[in-house]
Amino acid sequence: MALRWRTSPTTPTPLGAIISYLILGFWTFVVLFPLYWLVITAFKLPVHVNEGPTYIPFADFQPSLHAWRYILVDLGNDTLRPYLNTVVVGVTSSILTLMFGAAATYGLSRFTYRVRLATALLFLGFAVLAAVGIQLGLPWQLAVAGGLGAFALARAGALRRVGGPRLGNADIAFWMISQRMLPPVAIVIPIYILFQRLGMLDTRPALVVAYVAANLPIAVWLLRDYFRTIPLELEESAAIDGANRYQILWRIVLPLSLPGLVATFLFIFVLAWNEYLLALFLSSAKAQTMPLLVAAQNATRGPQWWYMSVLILLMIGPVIALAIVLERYIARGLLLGAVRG
Amino acid sequence: MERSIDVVERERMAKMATPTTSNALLLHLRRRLGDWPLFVLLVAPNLLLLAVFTYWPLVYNAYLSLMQWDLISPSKLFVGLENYRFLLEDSEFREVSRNTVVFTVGTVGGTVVLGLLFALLLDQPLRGIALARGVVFAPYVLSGAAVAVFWVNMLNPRFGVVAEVASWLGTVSPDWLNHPRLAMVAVILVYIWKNVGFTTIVYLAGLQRIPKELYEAATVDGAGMLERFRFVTMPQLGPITLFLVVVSTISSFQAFDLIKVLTDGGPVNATTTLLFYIWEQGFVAFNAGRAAAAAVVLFALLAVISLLQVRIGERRVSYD
Repeated sequence: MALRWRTSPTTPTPLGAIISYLILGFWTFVVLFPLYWLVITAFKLPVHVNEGPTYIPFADFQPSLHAWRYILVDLGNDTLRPYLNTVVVGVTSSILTLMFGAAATYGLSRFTYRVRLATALLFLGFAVLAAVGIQLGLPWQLAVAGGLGAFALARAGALRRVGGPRLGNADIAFWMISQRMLPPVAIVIPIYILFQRLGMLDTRPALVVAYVAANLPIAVWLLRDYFRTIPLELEESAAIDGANRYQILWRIVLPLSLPGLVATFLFIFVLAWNEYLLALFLSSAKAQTMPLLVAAQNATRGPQWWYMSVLILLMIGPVIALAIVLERYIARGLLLGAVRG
Repeated sequence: MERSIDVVERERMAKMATPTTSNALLLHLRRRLGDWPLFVLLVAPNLLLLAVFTYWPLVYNAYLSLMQWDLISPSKLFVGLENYRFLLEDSEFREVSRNTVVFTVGTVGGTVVLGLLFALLLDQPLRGIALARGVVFAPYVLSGAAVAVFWVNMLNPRFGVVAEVASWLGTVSPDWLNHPRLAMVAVILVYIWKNVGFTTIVYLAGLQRIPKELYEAATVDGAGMLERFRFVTMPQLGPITLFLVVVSTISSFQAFDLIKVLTDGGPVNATTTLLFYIWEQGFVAFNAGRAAAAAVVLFALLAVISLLQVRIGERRVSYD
């Protein structure tokens, strides 16, 4: 995908240019001032905050590192543990999401298998039966094995010659992507109960699994459009040269789709880094992440802006750097899969 | 739609199929099964994750909505549609619904309209425009919790910057976040501040895709700037606008961290949206059943919106 930036063909009149600069300049100020404020507040002493706003370091007030020392040294592990949690959970879940998402997207965009609707419904029926069985106290191993066995028997026997409408790949893809509309809060109570039963509450793995599940539809949505742009001819000639499916995937498709994979990774990473709701339910002390720490500290240290500013800067620093890269990708239409859908 | 490479693959395997080697059985198996194992390997983990973390929770949530349960006690009490009846009659729920509508209309309208304006401005060949693009987008990647915290600081009536600016202008800044009406306005404005970067950048990408020839043809036909916008830009951006309205609606329904930190749903219930109500019912009041019922309502609403998108989208002409 050639990513040459193009501006609109019409050059603005001088008046138009001035108005444009005024509006954009105003918004730039509105965006940057709070960030500037955040940075200088992190170096202020309490007295410089409580006696009304002070604006310029060295002129208005003498910068101090006291808040940084307190947050990083005095609080030490209380800050570093959530930070490490956020990094580990963010990176791990994003890598896993990308792997699963790329696999599914590739499978759905290159293989043309179709499943009979009747078969899918049959499978669903046995899955529900198995779930009901588990609810009624059946051991889950037995329920799953029984359900699968019954499904295989029914599939091999009665349904072998049954016709009816088929489900295509487009249906599966649409079905996966449609999950993106589901707000986590609508399903968070069952997920909480699930992890509670598994004894995984307040652990990093629980957060990782939950984030992978939550972000997977987004990954599929973003990658689907990208895989379409890879010319099929390349894969065909590799197949003729004797490469098998796995080699084609590893040697040709993945390297070619690297920009799309990077952009998707960054997007998902930002989502995982900032995620609040699921973390609020699934973690408390051990697995606490930065968004939770910031919100919790705001409740207890509300007016101690100097401490809060340091915490927030630590948290948003890494993603601001990512924003610059991401903006290029999105603006050039790399992440626009569903728009044309 | 796309040519499959299965054909090529199968021809290749047919050539190799002469069973001279010891792995004839394996080859035979591969030919019978084709690429099924790989396909299943690629797609199945995703379907499994979705089943466990989306479908089972949805079903279980619907089941919970028929129960009375405090999340702790071992037994749940079946109450039928009682939770839904409660929602219908609850005056708080009505207020919450109204808040949700106000919040959604305000944030979606604000981000889409402002986003279009910014995109049009940023699409011009002006100096320094790349920097401005980055600045407009930046807040979108920031954590909602963090954004909320520093806006609480900025809006503080005693030592916030907004109060200071108001005093320069000769007025007094109200206590935004504790004012029964202005609290909602403040939450919407902060939400727009954070999210307008996304709509802007998507609109910009849309503008990039409009063929230049359309503008040239319109200019030849004597169309001025406004006419070009009305008859070329707007229709070409139609599908993107629809996409943005739906996506923004869905994400505004999911705004939680911002509201939690800015106002905690208050003062009283002035900024409690449906999503926040679910949280309060479930994990503050420990009414899992009512929370689940409200979640079912929210889900139904989103499903209707998404279906509408698909329906309207089908009728639109794609500009590909």
